[in-house]
Amino acid sequence: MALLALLGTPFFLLATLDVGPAHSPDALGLSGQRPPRAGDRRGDGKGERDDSLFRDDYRSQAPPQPVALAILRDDYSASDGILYFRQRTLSLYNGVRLTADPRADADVPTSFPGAASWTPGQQQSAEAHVVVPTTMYLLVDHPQPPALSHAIALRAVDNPNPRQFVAAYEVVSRVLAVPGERLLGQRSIPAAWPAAWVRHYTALPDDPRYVTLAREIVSQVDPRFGDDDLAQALAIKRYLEHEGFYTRRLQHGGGRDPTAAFLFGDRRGYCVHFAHAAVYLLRSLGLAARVALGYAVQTLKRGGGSSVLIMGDRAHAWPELHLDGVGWVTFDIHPERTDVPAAPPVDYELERLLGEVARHDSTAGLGQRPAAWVVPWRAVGRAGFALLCAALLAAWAIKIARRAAPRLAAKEAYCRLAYVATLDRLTELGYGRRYAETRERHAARLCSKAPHLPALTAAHLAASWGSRRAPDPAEVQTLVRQVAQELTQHTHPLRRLVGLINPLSWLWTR
Amino acid sequence: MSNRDTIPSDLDPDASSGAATDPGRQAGASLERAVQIAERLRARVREHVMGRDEVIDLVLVALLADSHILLEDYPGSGKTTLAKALGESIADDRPADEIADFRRVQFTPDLLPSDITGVMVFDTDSSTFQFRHGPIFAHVLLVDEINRTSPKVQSALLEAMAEKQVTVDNISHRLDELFFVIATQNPLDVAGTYPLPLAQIDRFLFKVRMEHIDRASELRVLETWGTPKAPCTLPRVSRDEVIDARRAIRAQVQLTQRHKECLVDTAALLRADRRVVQGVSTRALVQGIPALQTLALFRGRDYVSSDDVAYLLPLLLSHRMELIPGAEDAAEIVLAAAERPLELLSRSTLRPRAGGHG
Repeated sequence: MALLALLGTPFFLLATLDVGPAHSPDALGLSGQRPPRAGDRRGDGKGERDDSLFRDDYRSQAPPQPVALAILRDDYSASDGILYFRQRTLSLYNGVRLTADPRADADVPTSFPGAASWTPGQQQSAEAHVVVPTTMYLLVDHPQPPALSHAIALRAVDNPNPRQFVAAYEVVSRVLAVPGERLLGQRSIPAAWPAAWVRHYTALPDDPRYVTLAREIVSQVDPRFGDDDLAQALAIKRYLEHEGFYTRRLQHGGGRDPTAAFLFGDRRGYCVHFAHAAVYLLRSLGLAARVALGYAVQTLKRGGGSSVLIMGDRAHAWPELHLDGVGWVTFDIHPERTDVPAAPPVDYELERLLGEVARHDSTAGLGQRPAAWVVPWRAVGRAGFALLCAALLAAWAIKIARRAAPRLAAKEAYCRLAYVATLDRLTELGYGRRYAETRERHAARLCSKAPHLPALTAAHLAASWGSRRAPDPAEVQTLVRQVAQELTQHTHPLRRLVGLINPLSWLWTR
Repeated sequence: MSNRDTIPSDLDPDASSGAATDPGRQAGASLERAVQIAERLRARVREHVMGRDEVIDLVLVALLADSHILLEDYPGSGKTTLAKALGESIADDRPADEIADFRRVQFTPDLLPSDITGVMVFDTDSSTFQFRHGPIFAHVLLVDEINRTSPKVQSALLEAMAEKQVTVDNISHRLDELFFVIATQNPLDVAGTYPLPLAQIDRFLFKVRMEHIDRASELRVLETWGTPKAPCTLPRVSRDEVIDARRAIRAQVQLTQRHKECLVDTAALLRADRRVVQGVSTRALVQGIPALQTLALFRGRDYVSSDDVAYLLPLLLSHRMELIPGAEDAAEIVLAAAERPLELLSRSTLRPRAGGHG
């Protein structure tokens, strides 16, 4: 069932952490559950996916997808550059493997915040930590809310864009702020813990090799710190980092205890192997430890801005160590050797855009760009087409009006308008008057096409230049008809047709 | 120029309606007479001069436009014949006066002004000085080789051409109203000549370069040379008729404001042309108006058309300009300058008349 759930999600992702040598492929089952809703009670679901944490081949072909956006409310940068967004923890050893136990790990929020805000059962100490408020916007469904380690309060907020984000909530986290050496001298298990808790956090497989190996590692520690819990834990961390080899190509096979196969075999594995090996070794020394699952985001190579885009391939598993007076400490293993290349950089543009959406900016930040105005080509094209059509129609209207003008004109204007109409006809047929050509020469030139044109021209000139013998309109009308007939006879029909539909021919009439 | 042998009778007065009292009919009648006079003159001159129809028309235009003409041609090409035929076509209807109908003067370097204007002679009978009229007192005066005489004589003649009077011994003598000078000069044989300055050439309406006549015309000349001519059937034209025709043409052939604008614009463009050192004078335009009207009449119209302007402008202006060295074809320059004014003139007919014509 857990395997089915994994196959169903597009993000079963293999994290490659660009964190020193710590690269970890994973399919930790962090996402892909049914959509979380505010107030949705998701109490348990413990251990349902733990079977699938160890797999031999997690090579993913699909490019990583964004799964969540975190907005840092304060100016904060992690000392090692990695932000750990924890979603679940595995602390209960059930005789086979580590599984989730929400009752024990009450400091880890297991459900999305509803109307009431969540507070953890165990408190991280206030002295060694700084408070970092963040707001999470989930882009895909998660069974439990990821939150920056170690969350102490969750509160639901309005989803600024429900189509974009599936959930939004505020987180207040306490992040360790003191260097590791200051914590030396702290016991791992407080004296106040009941025996059941101690058993819970120190249970490990019944395999003597864990204790043997752990003792061997611890024997190398400087005798001055040989009894110190944190010094022992650091020795184990150094051992795993030095001896382990981070890879996604595994040949452990599905044994009963994959961790043993990894740790006592070739020590080749990914984050789940390293986390489990570290937890078992720590527990074999009597230290309280558990496995945390979530996303680890390298922020050193990020650009500015408070938005942190979490990609699916950032999924990660890491050990957590408990220290008295401090709380749970992220205790990640960074193997020195690996065959996994560095992860590609985050798409900063997408990160910025989603950040703007999360901040209620409906334009996603585009409105502030000076070059955001674009030429509305479609509107320009339509307007141009409409203008063109209007101009064509107007041109045809003028052409028709000029052609019809003689019939409507007064008697004294008839001669001139009839001549203009004839000239229009001549021009559209390509027989227009040339520049500086006199009207008589124009008429004489066209004598073969229109033998009556010279007479018509003479009548027109007589009328317009004040001859005492003004031409008779009826005579002019006859001449116009004769010229029209002659033109029809002497020109090709196609030429006449082309001339007739040319809307602008009258522009060249002179 | 129209090469039609007869002037078209578009101006037939019967064509215009109205009674005899109609002023239009009166006008048509006198314009019709002008057409007939031009027709008779042309026919008579053509009988004597063959193959020179265009030159004959230009000479007649100059005559009826009350101007003078300068013919530039080779010797023996018919200049004198033409002038003589014209002189003989105009009858002297006042035989009593001192004015002959035709005189010819051959200009030579030793000619004196008094040789052409006339001189005061002491009359022993009355013991007074009497004015003896020179050859300039004529209707038609042929001045041969005008560039062969001294500027003194040229000036005397040109004063007479402009003012229609001569002054001898402080007494001015009026020439006849119909005083028409046909001057000739040889364009090639220029050694020992006094070329006319531009200011004097400006007095001539046209400077016509006569080309050699065509083969058929030349053959006809050989055939008819020396044979006695049959008397012309057409009657001669009287002096008064020519004067009347001039007046009718001036008054009745329509010439619009647009035509005047075209002339003025062309002159302005010519003056602005960088190939032209000295532009055309206003006198050229003043003389051009009656010439245009006469030409329109010759072409059978009672209105001046843009075609008349296009035809006449090079003839009217070419000889009056001084060009920079290297620019040869004055007519081409005139036509280029006239292109835009002519185009505007032609286009103006498509617009409603503004009423400013005549």
